[in-house]
Amino acid sequence: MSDKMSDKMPADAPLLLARDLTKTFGRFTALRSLSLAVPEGEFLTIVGRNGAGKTTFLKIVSSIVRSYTGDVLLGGRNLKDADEDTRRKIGFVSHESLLYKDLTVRDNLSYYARMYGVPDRDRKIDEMIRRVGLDAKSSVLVSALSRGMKQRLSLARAFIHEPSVLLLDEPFTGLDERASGILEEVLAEFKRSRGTVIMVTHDIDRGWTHADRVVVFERGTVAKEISARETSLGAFKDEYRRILGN
Amino acid sequence: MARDRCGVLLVGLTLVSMIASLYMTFLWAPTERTMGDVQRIFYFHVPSAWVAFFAFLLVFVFSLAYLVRRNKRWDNISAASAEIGVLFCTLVLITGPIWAKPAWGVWWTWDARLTLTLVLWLIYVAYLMLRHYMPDPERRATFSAVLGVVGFIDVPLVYFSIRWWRTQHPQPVMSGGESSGLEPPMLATLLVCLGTFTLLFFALLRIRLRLQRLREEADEIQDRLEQTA
Amino acid sequence: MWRAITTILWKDLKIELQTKEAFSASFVFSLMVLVIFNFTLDLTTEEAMKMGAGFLWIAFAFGGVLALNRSFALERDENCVQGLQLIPVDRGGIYLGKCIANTISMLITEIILLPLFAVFFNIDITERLPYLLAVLVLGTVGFSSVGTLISAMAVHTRMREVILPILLLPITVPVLIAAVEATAYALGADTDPSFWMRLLVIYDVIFVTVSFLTFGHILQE
Repeated sequence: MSDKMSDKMPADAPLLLARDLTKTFGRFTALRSLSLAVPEGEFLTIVGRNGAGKTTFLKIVSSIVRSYTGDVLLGGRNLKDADEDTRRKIGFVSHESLLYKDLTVRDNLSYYARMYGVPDRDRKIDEMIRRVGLDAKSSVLVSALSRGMKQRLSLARAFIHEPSVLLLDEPFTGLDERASGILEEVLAEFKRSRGTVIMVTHDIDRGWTHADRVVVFERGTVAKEISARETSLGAFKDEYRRILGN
Repeated sequence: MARDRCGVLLVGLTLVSMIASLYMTFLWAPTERTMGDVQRIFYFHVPSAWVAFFAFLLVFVFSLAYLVRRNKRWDNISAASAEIGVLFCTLVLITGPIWAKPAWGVWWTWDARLTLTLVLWLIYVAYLMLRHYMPDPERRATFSAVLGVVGFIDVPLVYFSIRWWRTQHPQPVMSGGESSGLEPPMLATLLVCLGTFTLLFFALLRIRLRLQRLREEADEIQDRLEQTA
Repeated sequence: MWRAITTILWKDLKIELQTKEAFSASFVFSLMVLVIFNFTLDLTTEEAMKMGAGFLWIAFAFGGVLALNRSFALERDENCVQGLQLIPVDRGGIYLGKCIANTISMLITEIILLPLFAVFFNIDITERLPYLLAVLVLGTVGFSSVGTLISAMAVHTRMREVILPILLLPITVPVLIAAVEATAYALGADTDPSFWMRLLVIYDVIFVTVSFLTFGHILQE
């Protein structure tokens, strides 16, 4: 019901601080006075039923949505002003690929690389293409790619600018084996290098794997906060079922 | 209803003013020499045009204000002004031909002022259509505000382009109101009518805003009921 | 900012080169408009010469609407608009890139249409050709300036692309009047186009500026 801000928060200021976020879409209130702090390097998984506000929260944190009441600070800077440097730190993965079907694999990456001001662009692009296993297809139009290949390219797109904050909205939905594998690898790597991750998912098992903390959203607020390292998956699932049952 | 003292006063004033205008327009003002009684429509035609323009000016001001600071009330005022503006604009476009036919023999001339009014009507009807086809209130308000600013900035450009176009391709018939060479009683009637129409505008605006507020309250109550259910 | 403009321009032109959808749609449609005028109006040669400028710009306007629609329709696939919202660049830069891409796209259609127009209507377009081209550019920029802004709006409405002409055409009345008058002069009329050219320049400057400043509001949620 009311959120429980953990007393075990690190002494230094959290990387992401959301305060009293309220967002309405006409008559529907997606977020109600939601507050959440995410320390740097944390892997946070957000779960909850549809309409609980998870995707809205993610969109606000990614600076896609800018009209809301309340504040979100990323690295001390208010996201409402979201200057270019702050936006450059953010990587966003969703089930939509954000790719242009009439451009080639290489051109899509080139477009995003240019927009993000990626240094040593061509080398980075080659590296990324190799990483996701699309070397043979680098001059192929996205419209000619298979679904799995598109997904892999979309991952490449999200990471080309080496974000330090990764936001994922149901990233595993509909991913094939190979793409899932790549995503898992990337997430593990991200965690190792102390990047911050916020993942919204319905897949509790997958969401639990890397998570430091799991937060349950319900009706636009934080209903429950669980440390993944101190609880078992089974216990959490019971708790989660109980919350959803209400 | 009775609690809205200001509103009732406004409507009352409008009513009184309207009666005065009707009297002056139809009974008191002298008959025009060349056009006869048909000319009396001028006293409704011209004030409608000025009020329509004023309404669109309000749309501009409050649209700009909304873009600076997202106050929902300002969006409401813009929308209401646009609606009422289109209403008065329509009146101009209807009274124009009604006057033109008996006075000059044709229903419509592409006279500068009438054409400008037509284009304005099209711009603000489009504004209302945009609002109609956008269900999300915040987005609708933002987009309308941008259109409200763009549309009004266009007005002087439309005016100058039409006016110069008309002088390049003059029409044999001269339409539009003759505000120069008005005898004092005619001028007085015109001013009184202008006052009436302005009062009418504010009365309508107030009523429309009140309606909007009530609608929002009803939605809120409905939401609360749905939640507790 | 410069990065945003050139990258968007590069992207849009590359996509257009690949699909040629905007060009083919607007070219064929503009051509149809000119042809239909001939059928429905059955003009004599003199009449055609007098009204040619008007027909030309009507054809350009309707074709232009199609090109403008394409510009943001291509961002709708795979929610690429979200990509635009995420990238750390100036919103105004995105607007300018799109606007320039649209202008170039429309100009290409118009320039290819001109000789066909000259043939259909038996009009000599070479008499004051530089002037004609100048009018084309100024008029198209004017159309595209507001058109790009409104096209971005239209994509988010329930009526999608259908609402673009309804919103755009009344606002571009000054451009249409000025462009037609100036084109009439370019095609040989005995008039003075200086007022119209000035008006076009003023319109272009005002609306590119206003659209540049307000585009961010349209893109952002």
